[in-house]
Amino acid sequence: MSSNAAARVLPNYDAFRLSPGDFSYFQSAIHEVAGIHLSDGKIELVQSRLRGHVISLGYGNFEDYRNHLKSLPSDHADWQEFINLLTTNKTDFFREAAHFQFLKEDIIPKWLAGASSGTFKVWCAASSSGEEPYTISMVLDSCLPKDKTYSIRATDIDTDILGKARTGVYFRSKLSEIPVEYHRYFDQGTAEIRDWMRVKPRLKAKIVFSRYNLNGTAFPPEDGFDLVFCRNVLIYFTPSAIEAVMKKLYQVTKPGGLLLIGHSESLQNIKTDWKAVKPSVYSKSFTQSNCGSRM
Amino acid sequence: MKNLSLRMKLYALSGSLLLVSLVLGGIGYWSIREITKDYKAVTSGNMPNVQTIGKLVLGLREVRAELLSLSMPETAPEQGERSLDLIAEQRRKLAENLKIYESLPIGPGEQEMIDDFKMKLDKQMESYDAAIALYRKGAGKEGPERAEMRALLSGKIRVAAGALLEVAQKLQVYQEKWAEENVAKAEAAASLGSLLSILTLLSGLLGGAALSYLFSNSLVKTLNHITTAISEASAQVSSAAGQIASSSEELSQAATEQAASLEETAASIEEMNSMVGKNRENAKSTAGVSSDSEHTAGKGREAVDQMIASMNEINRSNEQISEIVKVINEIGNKTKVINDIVFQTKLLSFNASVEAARAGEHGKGFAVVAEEVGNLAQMSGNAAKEISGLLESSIQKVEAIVQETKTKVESGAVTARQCGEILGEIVTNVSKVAVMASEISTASEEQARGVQEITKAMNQLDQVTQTNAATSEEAASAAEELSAQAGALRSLVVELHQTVTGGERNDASALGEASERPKAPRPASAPVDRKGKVFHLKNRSASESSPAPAALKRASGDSTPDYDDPRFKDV
Repeated sequence: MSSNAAARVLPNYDAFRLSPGDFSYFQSAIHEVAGIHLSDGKIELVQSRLRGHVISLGYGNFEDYRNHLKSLPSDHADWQEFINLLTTNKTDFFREAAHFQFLKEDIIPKWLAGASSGTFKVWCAASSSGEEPYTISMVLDSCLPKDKTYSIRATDIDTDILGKARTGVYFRSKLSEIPVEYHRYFDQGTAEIRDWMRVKPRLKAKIVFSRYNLNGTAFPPEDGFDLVFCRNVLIYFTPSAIEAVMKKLYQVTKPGGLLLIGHSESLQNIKTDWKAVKPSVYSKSFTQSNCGSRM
Repeated sequence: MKNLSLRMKLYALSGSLLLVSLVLGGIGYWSIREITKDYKAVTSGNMPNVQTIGKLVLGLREVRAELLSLSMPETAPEQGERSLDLIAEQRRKLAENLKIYESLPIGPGEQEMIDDFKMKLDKQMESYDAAIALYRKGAGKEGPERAEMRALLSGKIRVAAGALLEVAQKLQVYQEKWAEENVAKAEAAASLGSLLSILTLLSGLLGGAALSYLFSNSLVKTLNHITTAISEASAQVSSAAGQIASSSEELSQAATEQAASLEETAASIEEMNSMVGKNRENAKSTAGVSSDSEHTAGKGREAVDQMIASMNEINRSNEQISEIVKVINEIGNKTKVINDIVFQTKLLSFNASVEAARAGEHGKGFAVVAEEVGNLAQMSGNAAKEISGLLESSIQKVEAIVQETKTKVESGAVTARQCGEILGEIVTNVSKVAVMASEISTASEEQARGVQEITKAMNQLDQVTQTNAATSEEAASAAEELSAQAGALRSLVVELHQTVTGGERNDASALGEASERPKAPRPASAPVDRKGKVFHLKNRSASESSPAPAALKRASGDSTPDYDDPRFKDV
């Protein structure tokens, strides 16, 4: 009778110490599959992020898990889970708000002045849990005239976080990040779900979510973008990886199109065709220069 | 009663029951021992005695019968010998049986009878010996000895045999009576034992029942009190565990989020670090370039100074050119002399031609010479005119040039001075830039050090936060475990309560209900509050008991509402 009380046994956490050898394997593995650079000091991070997963797979230590990963083809779900766990998903609505002000007050008026098509195309290249594409959607909805529309492609390497982004449902407490004039873009939960809110269907319909590995070999899912958001993701890449990513983004951007990167990021030391417009804003010139000719 | 411990109560209860069984056992032992003793007296005393008496009587009869057959006239000597042997045998047995009888317990007044029997037996034996002696005297043949023997047998021996039998019968009666007494004693002991047993049993039963009732009553009361208290406590523990689990989950979630934030910040700072490094390099090279510029500007200034000097030279040259005008004027003056000479030459040639005409034929050649001289003079005059014209325009031009050069040199000198001043400013500014660039470089270096410090601190913070995230995850799973254990404890308490109260479902469910609405901890259970190490239990309202949003986040799969949930309303 009383045996069911002790049915569940707590995992032995002490067995889950990441050895330097296992760490360096995971370190190079994540760099290889996702371009993510983890410095040597990130052993604690890797340990704490992988531990729960390793336990849930039933392995008693990291070494067994490492051998398990090694034996799998690179498109196996456990590799994706490994990537999902080691990516950092930090985002907010209206994060680095200056960009959204710039979008509304500068980019869109200029686009309208010389618009060649009726659709403003945006790529959000590291969409995380979705706050950024929804923010873009809100801003564009609020500032485009009736005869113009927009489309947003939102991609991320982490399938878990992409799933979360797709739901379009957020904690109501997140409302505090959003300027009051944009609160109208949310439906509020009632009764049991009153702690939640959802993005209005109109905004959600404009966004297509898909998995894309910026460091993979595949070509981007679309091209002809007017604006590319690639913010706060380059900080995780090595310079050579950033160069390759910049080349890809450049290829799928329209001449005159813009690239926005994080405010703490810079292409200062990167060989690229992107022209600096102002800090963290870059443009593709109208005169099509031969990509890479300067190298 | 209340002051007795449970152990003492149980000791008292089982002790009283033990005492009862002990007394019962004692009584049983005693009565059985009595009965056994009495019956033993019957079986090992009276009965063998009676048997032995029978054997004695039988033996005597046997001997008498053999003696009778000896005394019979038709008895053959061989047969007589056999009878004699049998008689000897029987007499030996008689003596044995008598010994046996004497070895058995002897009752009061029995000894006299035994002595009487023995005395009579001895006499009878003597008579037997006399009869046998008569037989031997008659030498196995019919004669007076045998007649005397028969008379002895039917006379004295028969009488003595009757007396012996009488005594034997008395003994037998005595033994039977004694046996009866023993049986009666055994029966009395048995009935006394039974009575005592029944009495003890009854009083034991009554006392035990009373004690059991009292003790079980108080025990059940105490157990009830305890199970209720445990139930309440376990409900509180369960509620606290639930709260801890939810808090831990929340904490774990927060720590995980914090860790992600921190990781992002750390990565940003690393990026900034590299940018600051780049700035420092640029500032350094700017300082180099500006010091080069300063040098170059200095050279420019020197060049301007040289230019100003050259301008002054030009001015001086201009003045020299003015001297040339004077020379030209002098040439003009000299040309006038030529003109005068031309005029005089012309005059002379005219005079010569007049003289030649006068000389006639002889002066013809002279006239030609004179004409030629006149022509030459004319030509010289023309040339002199042209020269003076040229000189005049030259003077004008030179004067204009000198004037112009003068003005230009003057304005050039002003410009050059300005240039010099501007270059001087540039030099000053460039040196300022150089100073600033080196200041920027220094500042960048300090910044870089600062950022490095921040990076270091961030890394430490990162480690701690990662550890916190991991630890809080552990805590969350431990809390979950605790919660499960608390649930198990509750069901155990319900089970215990059922055991105590005899499976009254209502009571059990009442316990369960009570556990869902835990009361505020009473002073009696206050030890949990000590040192504030344990969470205080709050009376949670329905809304409070629903997990906090952050707690749900990690397990978003099942707790995030569907996008199409009808409870989403456009507010």
